[in-house]
Amino acid sequence: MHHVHVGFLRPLAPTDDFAHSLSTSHDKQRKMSQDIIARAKPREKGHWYEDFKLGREFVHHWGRTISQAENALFTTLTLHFNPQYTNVEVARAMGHPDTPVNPLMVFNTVFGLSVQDLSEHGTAFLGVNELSFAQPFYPGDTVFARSTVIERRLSSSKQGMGIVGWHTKGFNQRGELVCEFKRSNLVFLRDPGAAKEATR
Amino acid sequence: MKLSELSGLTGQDNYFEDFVVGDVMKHVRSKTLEPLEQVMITNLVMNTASGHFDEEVMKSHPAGKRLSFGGVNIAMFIGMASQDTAENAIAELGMDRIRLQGPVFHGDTLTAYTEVLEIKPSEREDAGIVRFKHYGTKQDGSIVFEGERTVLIKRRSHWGTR
Repeated sequence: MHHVHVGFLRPLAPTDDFAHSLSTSHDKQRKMSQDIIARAKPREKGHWYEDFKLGREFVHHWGRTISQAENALFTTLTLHFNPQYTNVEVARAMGHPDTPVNPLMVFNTVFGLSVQDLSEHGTAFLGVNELSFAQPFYPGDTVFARSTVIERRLSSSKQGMGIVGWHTKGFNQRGELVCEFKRSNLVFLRDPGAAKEATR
Repeated sequence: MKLSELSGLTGQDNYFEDFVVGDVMKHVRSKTLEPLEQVMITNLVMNTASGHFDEEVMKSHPAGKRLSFGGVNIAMFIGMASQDTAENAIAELGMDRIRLQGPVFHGDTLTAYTEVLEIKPSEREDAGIVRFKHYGTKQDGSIVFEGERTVLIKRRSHWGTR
């Protein structure tokens, strides 16, 4: 039979070495390889102000199937006390086949799926207009998100930043609209030095 | 469950007929924002902006620490207003003119206020439409959220004894 000497399988006897490792001061701890750090290329995500040409469309990543457990968690943590989201008997009595997912969770999920494409390099999320819920969304349904750039301008007060607005839509697995809204964010310029050229 | 039991599960003072334009209410339960909901919901809804969940990356940001995600803050303010404005709601129709003013951090305590802007009939005879304006404040009294919300609410005349 093989005697495996993999690190985590070694007996953890309180040897001198082990005791020493517990008392080792912070500056004596093993450091991450400087060679690896020097060679590591950041896998950057997201877009910058310059990328948001008016009318550009984004099909956002992943999609998301929402479960009733998550709906109940969201609804209770946000103190949302409309029992149709947390009591299936009430939901059925009101004509639903199941508890609808809290619309604010649908909104948050569509928003969340859009962040890498739209506002990963943003700061302040300024506001939302014209949020509407087209139809109920039920546990087990899957939401997909897409957006269009509808506004862009350089910030007059914050150098190196612009304000970008998007029209975002959420669809279910049948391609039917479930939620849409318009939002705007402050977004960083990739090259703040070129701000004067970055016109609309 | 029988329909006759429905009205016993929710309040009696928040049917469509109870809302009067101009009325203003303070919602009595405030909430101190925990990473529990802020980071959990931010991650649950797949918001990838690490400024909401990486304390180290935010040390170089003017805020100096993680910012709460505005989407969760909106949901929290609506939640705090919900027992008084949505307990007998049939459907959330939408929101508009949502403005987030000033940063919100973990540990801030949020309070919600609501004004009734408009009441109108709907296509359904058993329900009417109410448009609210919600206000959200922090513990220092500053306003961090405003937004309008339109809700389809049961009429007591049709649902009050079910």
